[in-house]
Amino acid sequence: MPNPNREFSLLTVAHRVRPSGRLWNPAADVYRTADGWLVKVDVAGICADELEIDLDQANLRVRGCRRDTVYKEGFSYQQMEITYSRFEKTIQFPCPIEEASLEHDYRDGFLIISLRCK
Amino acid sequence: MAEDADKTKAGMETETAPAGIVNSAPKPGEPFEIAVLALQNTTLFPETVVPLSVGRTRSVAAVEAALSTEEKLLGCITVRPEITLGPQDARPADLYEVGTLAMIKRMERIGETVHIIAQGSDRIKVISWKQEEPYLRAVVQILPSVQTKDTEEVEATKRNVQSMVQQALALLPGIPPEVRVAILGSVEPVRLAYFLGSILNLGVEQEQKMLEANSADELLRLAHGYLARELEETRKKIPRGMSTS
Repeated sequence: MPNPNREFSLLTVAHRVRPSGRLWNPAADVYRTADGWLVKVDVAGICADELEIDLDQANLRVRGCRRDTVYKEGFSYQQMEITYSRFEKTIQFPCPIEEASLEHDYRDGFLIISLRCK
Repeated sequence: MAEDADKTKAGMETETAPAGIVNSAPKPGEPFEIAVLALQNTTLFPETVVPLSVGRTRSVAAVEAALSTEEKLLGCITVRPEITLGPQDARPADLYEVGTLAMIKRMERIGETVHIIAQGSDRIKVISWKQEEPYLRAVVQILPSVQTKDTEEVEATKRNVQSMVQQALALLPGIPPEVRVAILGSVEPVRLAYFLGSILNLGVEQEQKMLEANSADELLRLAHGYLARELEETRKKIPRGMSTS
């Protein structure tokens, strides 16, 4: 039963509760190029072999996972600020891109996706 | 937002992931083992980010176990409201069967307390309990995502909820602008309902009903009903002309 003495409040707001997606949503830059688009996703530390990149109409979707592979038995966290989890990034373009040719490279912690429109 | 109430000494040694604990992304319906944090007087919803302070030795051990996994996954399950925990820890029977799979996004140890920022991702259901000590550990499975049955009804209920939130915000000055934006600008009905469940201080029983709602229709109806009741109660307590806009 609800507590009749409880005050209606938004108290927990003060404790930084906020809405989010279900997964980590990494930052990305999108460049227009002479023949299409170039997308740069900030996903340092991921396993490139686990990446999934899909094109669907005007959407580019990148999925993967960043895992903590440094932690070992005997370690104990004092502080953690890096997000380790599955991620999913969907970028909507102003035009269809599913016919574009796609190349990707992973260097210096960035996933670089090149889309050449036909 | 407190967890397991008190701040008893942590002082524990590092926990490492037991063999078999999840080290890869669990898939819906597939059972997997996970360390469980018992939440007292609060509920973690999917699609919300909340700070939690962890002080009990066994709860710290659960967080340590989660941190030892590659993806920092932790099960967060609420203690039933009729259970009053003293110095003793919650037992499996004291907890609800449905909770939330969370990713630990940030962690900081201050003295004997571990402060974490947890992001709720999916609803989980306990299939069986594996251990109580040194921390709770269970076999769980991810529940299907909440689906919308009647899109028009859900959208209409969402607009009603947003309208009531606007009225509530007028009665509750001092709410930060970013919270107003988060609530009123929320496009996704399920996310809006879960966020409201997190911030309305409804009480564990109502929050758990929202968490266990299997459709967006039911979830929005619950959020609408609770908000309407709270709004009515608040209006009774505030003298005429005292509200702000």
